[in-house]
Amino acid sequence: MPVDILDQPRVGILETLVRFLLQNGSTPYEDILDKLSGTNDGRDYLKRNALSLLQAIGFVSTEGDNVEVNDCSILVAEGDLFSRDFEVSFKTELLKRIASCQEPNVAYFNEVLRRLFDVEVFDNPRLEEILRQSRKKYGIQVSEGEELGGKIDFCITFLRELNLILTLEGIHRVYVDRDILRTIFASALKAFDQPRVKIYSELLELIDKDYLPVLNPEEGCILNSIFRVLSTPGFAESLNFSWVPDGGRPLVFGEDQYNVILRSE
Amino acid sequence: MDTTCIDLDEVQRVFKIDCFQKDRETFEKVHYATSFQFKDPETEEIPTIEGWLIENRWNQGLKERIAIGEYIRPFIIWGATGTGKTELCRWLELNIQHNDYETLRISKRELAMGGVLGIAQKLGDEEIDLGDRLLSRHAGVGAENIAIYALGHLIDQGRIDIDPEKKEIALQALKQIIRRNIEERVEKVRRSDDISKIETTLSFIKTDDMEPLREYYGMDFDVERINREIYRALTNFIANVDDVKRLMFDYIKKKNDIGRIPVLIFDDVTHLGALVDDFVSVITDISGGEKGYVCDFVIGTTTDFYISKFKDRLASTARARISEIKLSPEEEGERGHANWLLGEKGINHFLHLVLRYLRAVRTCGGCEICSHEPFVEEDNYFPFSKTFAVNLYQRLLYERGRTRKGITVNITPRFVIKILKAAITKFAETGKPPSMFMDRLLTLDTIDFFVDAEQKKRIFDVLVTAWWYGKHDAKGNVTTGMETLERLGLKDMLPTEMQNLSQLTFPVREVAREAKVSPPTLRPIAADEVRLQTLIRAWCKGEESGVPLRPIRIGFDRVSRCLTSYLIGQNNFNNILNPRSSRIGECISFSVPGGRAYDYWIGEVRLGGPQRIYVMSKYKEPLCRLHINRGLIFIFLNEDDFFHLYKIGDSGTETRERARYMLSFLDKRHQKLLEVLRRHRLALRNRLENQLGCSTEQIVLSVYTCVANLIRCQRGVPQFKSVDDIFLDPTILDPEKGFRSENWPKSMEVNIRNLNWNLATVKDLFLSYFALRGEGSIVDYPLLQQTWSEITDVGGCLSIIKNVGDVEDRFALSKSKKRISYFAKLLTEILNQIDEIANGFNDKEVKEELSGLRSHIDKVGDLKYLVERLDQLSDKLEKGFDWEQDQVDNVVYELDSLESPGEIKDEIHLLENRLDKIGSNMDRISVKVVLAQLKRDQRIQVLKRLEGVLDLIEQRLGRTLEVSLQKLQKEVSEYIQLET
Repeated sequence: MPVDILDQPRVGILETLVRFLLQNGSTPYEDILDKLSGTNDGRDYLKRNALSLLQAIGFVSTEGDNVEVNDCSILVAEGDLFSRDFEVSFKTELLKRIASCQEPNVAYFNEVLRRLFDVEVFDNPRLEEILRQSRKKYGIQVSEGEELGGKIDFCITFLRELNLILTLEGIHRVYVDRDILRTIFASALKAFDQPRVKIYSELLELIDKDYLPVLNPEEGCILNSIFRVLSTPGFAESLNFSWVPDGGRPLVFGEDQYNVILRSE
Repeated sequence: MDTTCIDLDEVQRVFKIDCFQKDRETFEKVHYATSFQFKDPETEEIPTIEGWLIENRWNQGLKERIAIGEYIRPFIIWGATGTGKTELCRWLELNIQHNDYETLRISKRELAMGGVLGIAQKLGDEEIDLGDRLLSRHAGVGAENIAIYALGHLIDQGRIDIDPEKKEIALQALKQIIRRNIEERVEKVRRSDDISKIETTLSFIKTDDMEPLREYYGMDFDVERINREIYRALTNFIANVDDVKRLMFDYIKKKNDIGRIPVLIFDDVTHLGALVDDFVSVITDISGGEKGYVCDFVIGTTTDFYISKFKDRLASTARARISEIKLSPEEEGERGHANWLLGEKGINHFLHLVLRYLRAVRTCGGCEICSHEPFVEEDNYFPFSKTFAVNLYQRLLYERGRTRKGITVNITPRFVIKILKAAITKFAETGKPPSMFMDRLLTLDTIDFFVDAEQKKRIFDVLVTAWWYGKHDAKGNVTTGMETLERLGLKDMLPTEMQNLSQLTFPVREVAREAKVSPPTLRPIAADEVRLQTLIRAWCKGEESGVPLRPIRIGFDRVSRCLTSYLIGQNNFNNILNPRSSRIGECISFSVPGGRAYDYWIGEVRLGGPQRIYVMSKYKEPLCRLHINRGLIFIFLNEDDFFHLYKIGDSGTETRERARYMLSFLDKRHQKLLEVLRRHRLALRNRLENQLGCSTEQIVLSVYTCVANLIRCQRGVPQFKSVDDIFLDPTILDPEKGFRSENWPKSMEVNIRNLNWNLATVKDLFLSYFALRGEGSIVDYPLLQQTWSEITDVGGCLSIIKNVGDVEDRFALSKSKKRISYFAKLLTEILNQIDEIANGFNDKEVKEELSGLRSHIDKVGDLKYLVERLDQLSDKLEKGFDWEQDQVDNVVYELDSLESPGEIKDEIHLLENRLDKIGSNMDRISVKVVLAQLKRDQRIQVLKRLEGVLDLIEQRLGRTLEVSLQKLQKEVSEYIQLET
């Protein structure tokens, strides 16, 4: 069975695993299992879900019997590895790896995110529908009657641990973590290495392709949930959006859109 | 529908986005009376309308103005894009009628075309279009040549870095660049229907142009500064003066000299961009230095530009003269709207605006086609209806500030005009009622308001139309007359059974499908809410103390509790736990005073710990700086936020409405709140750690290790030497296999028993910190390893435990309700007892005891042989010694089922060896406990009993023999006496 992105929802486990490897460098596979788990169940879990997932998305690789973290563009591998900065950089790197992964069983999660970011508010049945549609799009067999019960719970946990949703009275609302989004923007801007970047045709397209879904390809505009974060006070300023004009002038999002303001309050 | 009454060319002519694109007649036809908040330097802010402004501000002539000393008057019109600034500017231009005043308007187009050059051009004598002027060439010489000439001078002065050999060729290249940029600019401005979309002023050299200049000519300079120099050079070219400031002085003086007061109207100075500094200095200098000049400036600007770039840069003399005309509310979250379209009279203004445009665009003066119900209700709204317009207004209110597919609905005249234009255009093109395009135009999903899924499929268009043209009642129904549907050409789409009805009523949901927790009501803000908002605003500003804080407090509680689900493995931000742990178990929790969710205080700074969150009005931020520097945690909210919190916490708010307020609040503030709560937890953690004298991880791991070591001590096995040892025996803290207090010295029994009762808690606490999943199958090894090395650095677990300070009662273990320091205290007592007992430890005595035990075992020898011999003894006792025989049989039975007592010899041997290597008090107590355990061993007990029985038999046999002997002696002596 190929590794499915929702085989293991605990982002904290993945984070700890990566931190362990960063601290210890290239480490024998068995040593990792010995250190991080005191039980057979735990060893199996690590082997089957955590390590294989990180391998599948190219976060870590195996050299002989040893496992090591691959070169990362976002992950902060120095300083306090228990800090929030590390947490944010890890989650951002994880999302980037997922976005770049070609494996259908992982890549479909991008489609899940794209759809969720557009609906903003969803409940479990809606999520099941989205999961089914997304998996189908990537050629993963899902029978119409099949229940994705286990995957729904895992998906909710995964999204929550990635700081992408907030649950209010049984309804989930997409709240993309601002720090993560800010890190993504900063990283993408750095990738351009030029003083001026076109927001639509360059920056957002790159982010959408390499980091996180931010665009609705059908409507040619920013996904609702992303736009909401972009519009929160201080976000744009923190990114030095020099091309966001002075005085809250309208940005033209799409061909026939109007009165669209990247609010800066 | 018949579209005869609407002509598409007329629609294009009337519905111009920028008002200066309309001819005067059209402008006057469609102009709507603008109302706004007005504040002059000496009075309070008042709501008023444009007519009042003219009557009260442009009613005095030049002599009166000089007499009362009113020389320079800047009027700043500010508001969000599309709120009517330009409209008002143009209206003032046309309607300031007093003979002494002469208006001159510098439009957005002119400012966008050439920044301050636009001003220079307008104030100059020539009536040539600025674009033509900039593009014109005479004998091959144009504006670009002047710019190059100026740049050449700058190079000569050394103000531009360049390879001297490349100067000429570089300037040639720059000339082309400047020409290209001017051409592009002029074309862009001329092509644009909506100048607002042009966001900057003309840049002769752009930042993008620098790269080739650097690469090919080694040229380097500050683009902004050089552009400014070019502007200066061209100002002379355009207006024959060195700078715009001089030009303005001259212009005003010239007008004053002929008894006129110039009113210089600038549509939107936002287009000046960085050049606004020059403009500000003009206003400032005229206001301060040139007494005797009488002039009015009417300056339009967006809110943000005014606040960030304009207001603060004006010198105090100019600021003191400013009158502000506010077209947008000041409240955060509302700034994008036109204030006159909100509030109680908002609907009236809205209908007025809609009607002005609809009247202007209809080609007939009212005909058979358009003068019918439902279009006519008091006025003719064809192809809409009044109900439609009211529904649209309420829908915009409902959607305002929300973002759908990248579109934020702001209630502004420009937004309304765009919608009307698009809807009418579509109507004229297709003949379909405008209702069928509204969703697409506004990116809405009106169909989601309907309940019946089957109906949604069958009569989609009818339902959507019914929603827009129908009357909504309080019971959640929308009703549309059949005549209306017939007029709109939709009756035929209905199933036959419906066509015979006089009207159709459909139940509608008050919220959209995907927004179950979104606003339920489609109504303007009620009057009492307006009062509440006013009260809260006054309270925020410190002018009012009568706001009930309880609903705000409850509101803050509810909102912050929501954020719990954003976390991993803990209940709330009062729990101090490894945040990466997914386990919900025993954790250290801070119980908050006053039953609040978190330790926070609203509205004022009160003495409390640094962990307290102060929820304050943004107006109090400057007063709190000192406290912020001291590390106190603040969250500053605006009046709108407090209003939201009030509504969330107020018991009178309906559930759906509350959810709407909650989401609205979280949308804007959840990140800020999360940040504050994270700081709150960090502060709590610091507080606890200060009291403990070590980190929480250290104490948790120390307690776990210490308890586990005591159990190992009881078992006589070595203590943990490394972090990896911890997992050698994962069941070590299993209560079933825990402490046997009876083996411990009497004085320690109570404490050991207490510890045994709390083994589950200690284990649970440990797993909550260091296990990442389930019951501990995956461990946060890096954290564990780091904590272990920290503990080793400070002298080990015992040292940490013994040095733990007093912790306040508020920090407790959430499940067991024990204080974290309870374990430290208990263990410290135990460790002290160990020390005390170890002091009295006597190797010799122990050795003797061990030797005694060994002698017991030695006596036993081979167990099998012993049993056989005892059996023989039992047989021999068969006659006359029944009781003794039973005793022997019992012991034989016990011995028979006993494991080999020889193993005890090994244990005794081990203990004797350990005695020789004792290094710590823990080793000593371990020996004592194991010795006690050995002594209580069943095998030893049986052997002791065997010894007892044998002694008894010996005694009994001895006594029996003695009695028989005495009897014999007695008989012998009696016999001797008898013989003698």
